[in-house]
Amino acid sequence: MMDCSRVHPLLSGHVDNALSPREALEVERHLGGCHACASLLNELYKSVAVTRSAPRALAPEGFMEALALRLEQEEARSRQLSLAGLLVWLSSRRAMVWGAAAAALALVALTLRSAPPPSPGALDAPPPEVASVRLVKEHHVALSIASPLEDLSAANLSAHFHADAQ
Amino acid sequence: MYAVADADARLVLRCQSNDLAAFNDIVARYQHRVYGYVCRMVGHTPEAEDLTQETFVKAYQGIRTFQSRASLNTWLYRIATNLCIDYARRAARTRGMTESLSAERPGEEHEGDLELPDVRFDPLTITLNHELQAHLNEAIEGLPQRLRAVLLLHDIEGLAYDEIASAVGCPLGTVKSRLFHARMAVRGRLAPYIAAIPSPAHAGLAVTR
Repeated sequence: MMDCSRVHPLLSGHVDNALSPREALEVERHLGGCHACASLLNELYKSVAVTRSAPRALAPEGFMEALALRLEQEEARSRQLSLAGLLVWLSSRRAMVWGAAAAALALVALTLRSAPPPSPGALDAPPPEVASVRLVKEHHVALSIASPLEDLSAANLSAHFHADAQ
Repeated sequence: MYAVADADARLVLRCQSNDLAAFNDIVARYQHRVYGYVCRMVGHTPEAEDLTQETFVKAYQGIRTFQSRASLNTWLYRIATNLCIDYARRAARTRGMTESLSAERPGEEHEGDLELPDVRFDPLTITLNHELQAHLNEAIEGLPQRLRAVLLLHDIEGLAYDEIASAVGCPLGTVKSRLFHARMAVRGRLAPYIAAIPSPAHAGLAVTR
């Protein structure tokens, strides 16, 4: 037979008719020979009945109207939060665009700063376009000397060229 | 029971189809039950109405994604229970109480006093007098929140064990254990007052739903 310590936790289920057939049988068998547990069960029955008979408080008058107002406020707040969230998102996107542009500029600046310095001799050399002009001049002079009749200004040009070279 | 569940399910579907008038029907149907439960959980304070409103606000915000695996009834009680426990925890912190709400009270796991009269009575005949009502209120308010929730959900709100397990988020065995300890604590407080209540024949108290 079950002892009292094992029966007590089952008494609550007994009150609710929620014991398994086997548990119910064992509890009933124990109660038949244990006055203390039978008394406890009676006490539980009464106590639970008193609890179940307790009056229920009713929601205050105007509860639904107050709730409707609160729901409207919550909706409005939710819309504001959504708008604020959108603005934050947009501003964060704009910040990202500006950030990317700044990073690109910084990269260009770093690239230029880190490019190798020009060699000292390169500073004295004529600009590339002057050299090409000089090449054209030399070619023209050579042709004019070879065929002076075809270009009467060749001799003057040759003299001018040689003066420049000196 | 099934008719209520079907009606609730239809209301939920209407809400999920943006028929928000259906939400008004849900509030009309459950406002008193939720408010009564919250009052028992936190006492008859201005916060009780606020917490009840908060329960419905959260339900309104979550109704579109509510899955009908749990009943609407159980879902509302779960929201209310969580809000009440959070509220009690904050209030306890504010008062500087060190009692842990999650811990069972010392002695709750142990047996109570066993010297009791051998009588039973019909609950339907009970009319609580003011004194007994006051002692019952004190007994319930003296319970830790987690025991109190289970006792209220079962013995006052009429939820089944499995519905309570869903509402408070604990295993079925824990529900039974908490219910037993809560009932024993209330019995201990009421014993001197209910001993004199006459008892007719043995009557089961199974909840009829």
